[in-house]
Amino acid sequence: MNWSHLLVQFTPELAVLVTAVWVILSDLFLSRHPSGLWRQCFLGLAAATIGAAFLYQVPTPGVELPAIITRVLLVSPLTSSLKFVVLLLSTLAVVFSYRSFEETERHAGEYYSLILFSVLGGLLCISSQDLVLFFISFELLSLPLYMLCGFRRYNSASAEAGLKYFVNGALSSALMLYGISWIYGSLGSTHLPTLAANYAVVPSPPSGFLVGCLLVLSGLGFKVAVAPFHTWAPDVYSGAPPAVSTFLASAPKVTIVGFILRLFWQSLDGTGQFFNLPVDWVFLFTVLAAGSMFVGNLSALPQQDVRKIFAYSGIAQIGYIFLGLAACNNPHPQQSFSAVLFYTTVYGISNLGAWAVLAVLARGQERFDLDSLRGLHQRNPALAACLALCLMSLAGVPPLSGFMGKFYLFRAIYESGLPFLVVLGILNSVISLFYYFKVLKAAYFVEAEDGGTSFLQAPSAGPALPMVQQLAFQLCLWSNVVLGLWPAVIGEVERVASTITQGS
Amino acid sequence: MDGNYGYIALFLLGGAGFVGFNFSLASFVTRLVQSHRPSRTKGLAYECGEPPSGEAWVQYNVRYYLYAMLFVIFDVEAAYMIPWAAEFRKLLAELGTLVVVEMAGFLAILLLALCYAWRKGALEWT
Amino acid sequence: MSEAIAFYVLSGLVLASAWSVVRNENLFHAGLSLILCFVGVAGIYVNLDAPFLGAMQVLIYAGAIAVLLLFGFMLTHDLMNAKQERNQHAAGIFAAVLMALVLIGTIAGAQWYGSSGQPVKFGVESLARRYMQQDLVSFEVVALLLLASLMGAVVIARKEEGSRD
Repeated sequence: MNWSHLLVQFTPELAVLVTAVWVILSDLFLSRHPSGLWRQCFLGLAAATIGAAFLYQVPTPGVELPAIITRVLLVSPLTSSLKFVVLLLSTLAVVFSYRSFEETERHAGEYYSLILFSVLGGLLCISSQDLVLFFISFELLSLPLYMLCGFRRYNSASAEAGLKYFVNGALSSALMLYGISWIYGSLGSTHLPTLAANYAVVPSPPSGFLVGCLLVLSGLGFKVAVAPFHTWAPDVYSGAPPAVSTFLASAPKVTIVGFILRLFWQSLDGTGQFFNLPVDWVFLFTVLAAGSMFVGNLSALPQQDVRKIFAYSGIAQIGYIFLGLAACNNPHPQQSFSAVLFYTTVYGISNLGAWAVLAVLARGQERFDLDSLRGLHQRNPALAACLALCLMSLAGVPPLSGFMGKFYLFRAIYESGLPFLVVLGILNSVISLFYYFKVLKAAYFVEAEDGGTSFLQAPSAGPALPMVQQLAFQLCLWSNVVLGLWPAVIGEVERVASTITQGS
Repeated sequence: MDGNYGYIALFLLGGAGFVGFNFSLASFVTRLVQSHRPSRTKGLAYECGEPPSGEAWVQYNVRYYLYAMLFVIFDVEAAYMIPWAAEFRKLLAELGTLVVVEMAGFLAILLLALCYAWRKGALEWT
Repeated sequence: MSEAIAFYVLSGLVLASAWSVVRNENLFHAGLSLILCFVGVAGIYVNLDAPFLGAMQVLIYAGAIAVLLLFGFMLTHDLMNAKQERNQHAAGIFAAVLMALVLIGTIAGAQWYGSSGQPVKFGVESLARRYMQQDLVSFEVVALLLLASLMGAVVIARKEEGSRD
């Protein structure tokens, strides 16, 4: 057994784990100074991100890893790239949560170690090959998030967010666990390759398997807030501390979308049998997608609270991703895979950037209505530019990466023979322009009131951001331009997508 | 199902039957011999007892909750350790030191949890 | 035969107590019914030849979780006089009936994998073996999950002086 190679292969996970333990220990025994803990958390996550990038670059060495581990944890181009994206987003979210709200002074150790646990759960989710491991790491991903949402427990909105998210999350976990038990009963295993193999030999598709898959899908749908399961999202996103929403809106969603691809397309459909189940999967995913696009976009229109606008926009964006998943149900899904992966990545970074502006601005103030953004471009041009580019990218303004993402997505959908869905998607993009530009108008075209209550007058919201945060804002800002126009990026995404159905 | 559990079911039935029989017998006999004349004086607290004030429903202190939570966590831990302990020799002969290392990792993490609760003062009743 | 009788008796107990959990106006009584429900499920585990699982069900659910739940009720101020503001019985009944129909229909026509009529021996030993081999990673992740939930419990439930937001 090559345990040392194993350590190399799972550097990101181990780095996150060690950092989490170290943050707890140093919070308990060394220093309780929040900025010290923040630095440890940030450095650990950055190291894990760099490790993930290297592992993605360097192909897997041809050595035998201990079977006991590789049986449940998969290492493939898809998992490595997803891990890199998730770690990058989490690192950025941690950067933006520096000094973001007062409670970190009191519970900084818990705050950072819970985020690290959540990231670790996400990483394990991405590579899990066994539904039992998936469920437990999914819980490790979600449980800290419930607590982080309710972190300001003396604030009733935050407590409500935590409780709401917890109750809905518990329901989704229960649905998923019940679905897993159906899958186990129908095919006699929880190990994904074994499941696929068993599925290939059973005489007729077991109906229990179908029920199990639908239950698991609805559990996952709760987590990404896709249409019939989205009701918790606006309250949770607007009630949670903005720094937590920044994390919540990016990394976990990329994780779950990645796992949906892995579960349904890479593992279960590895033999090309899965989508023969007696359900119209295209129709199912289309209903979910169209529902979330319309609900998200139409509900965002009348909102005045910027956080609610972002929350509904998140629901709508998940709808586009599910539209892409609907297009994956054909014999040659590579193009749709790469479109979904690219769009998910772009969405993650743009959404994170938009939330991060709120998280940084919100320090010390509690106003989040559109008026509170007034005159942002005069006060802090860098933040305003980041907000503007991220929102325009989410809206799909050419030539930003969001536009390229939508372009690839709609092209893939069109070429899988679903032109009707393209019309739906474009219609929704047009609707979404209204509310994205409403936010932009507040930030750019309305002058700040003199001596008004704008929270930009809070001392901490000036240009005196820490260096790391300024760099992170620049990264979010430029990624909106670069990701779409740099051909190497889409080439890499296509390469990753082409490995999805080749089996592990 | 092993036959032994039948005895448990019998015990349960016997216990429930014993209680139910005696209870109904007692209430039946009481009803035969009692005279039913309630009055306000009879309903008061007996002799030196204090008349109750307020409701029976009081808000408990949140400390109890924290203790219950700690109890649950270490209770769940037990569920994972019992099978390991029960089959330790067999597994050790079969799998070698992996068995020990794995449980050491599990316990180390839970030791960290205990350490955390202790340093944060969750174990103190103040 | 005795197993079938035990199964129906226990299922009746579980269903009746679950109904009482859902329909009882008094929350505390609903919590007590939940304990009965957990005990019934433990009985079903024992009936299915998984006594360890049954013991754990009693220890963790009927013991620990139920205590936590009842503490939760007692911690909450004025819970007994709380009134439900929105009545969603119709929607709830509709969803429950729909779900029940789908599940019963599926169970009636389901083919289970490798069911040969022989009960699967699943004792403590096979559980320990799974922990140490197949589910090795899950085993360690469970410990992390417990650690995270402990930290969350301390953050959420601890009383702090002078912290008003």
